[in-house]
Amino acid sequence: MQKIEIEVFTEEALAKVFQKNHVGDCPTLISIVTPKGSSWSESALSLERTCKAMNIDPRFPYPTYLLNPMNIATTQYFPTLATPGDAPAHFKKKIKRLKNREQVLLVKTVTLSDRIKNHSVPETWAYLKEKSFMNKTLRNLCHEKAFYQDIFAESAQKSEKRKVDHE
Amino acid sequence: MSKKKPNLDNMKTNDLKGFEEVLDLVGLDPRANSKKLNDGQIEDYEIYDFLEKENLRLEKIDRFFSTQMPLEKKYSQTKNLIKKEIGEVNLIKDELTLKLMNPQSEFQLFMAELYKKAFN
Repeated sequence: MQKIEIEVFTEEALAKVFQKNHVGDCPTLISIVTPKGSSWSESALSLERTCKAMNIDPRFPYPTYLLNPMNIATTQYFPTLATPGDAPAHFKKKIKRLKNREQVLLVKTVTLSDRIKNHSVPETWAYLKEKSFMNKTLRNLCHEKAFYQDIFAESAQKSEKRKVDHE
Repeated sequence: MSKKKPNLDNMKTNDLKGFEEVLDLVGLDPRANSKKLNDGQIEDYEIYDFLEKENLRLEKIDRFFSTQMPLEKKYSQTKNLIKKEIGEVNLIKDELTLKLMNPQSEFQLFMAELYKKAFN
């Protein structure tokens, strides 16, 4: 996983940094060095705008994390990490010269990641968010139904008991 | 054809002392067959293993976006299930209200008893 520190947040400068560091093609951790007269959230918004303009998804195929040690509220466009150590262990690897057999695997990896980029990831992400909301609604309705069924069963049980007592 | 020599630890070698020639164990180094990998070799496999796992991960993500999601979008049942559940909840609410409104119902009897206790 590569870590990049960004100090200038103009769209052109960000585009250059993203292209130079292949953001979106490998797991990246972005540390925001807040410029004077600007807030952290504004800088994060500039990053988000540039990512959208460059069609980079912050989650697929490779994650682009924002380092957010103060846990500042963001638009939730980027996944955030409190410390670099929180990054998934899967992506922490030493940089090494690859052998032939590893090169073959790497070519396959690049092809697969390009295929993922061709899918409409933001659209699917929005659909999944909507779906999760609907699933929660369905869960609440099921709970409500179970609650009424319990009352029904309890009431029937008590009526039965009362009948037996009268007899 | 070379005969495969057994891998013996120190304790077993001591037990077999005096029988080395008979059992053809002469010149046998107990550590000869140990297949310990050095750190460099482990690192080599680490990168290979990582790339294999990475390919598997990406294949799964690709399958998710190309096969599973279109099917899910086309044949999603959540909306229909929500409709069905809303209908069932309304039905059970109506039934419950009717049952509780009956003067002989457990709820009405309990409320009557409560009023009696409170106002007598």
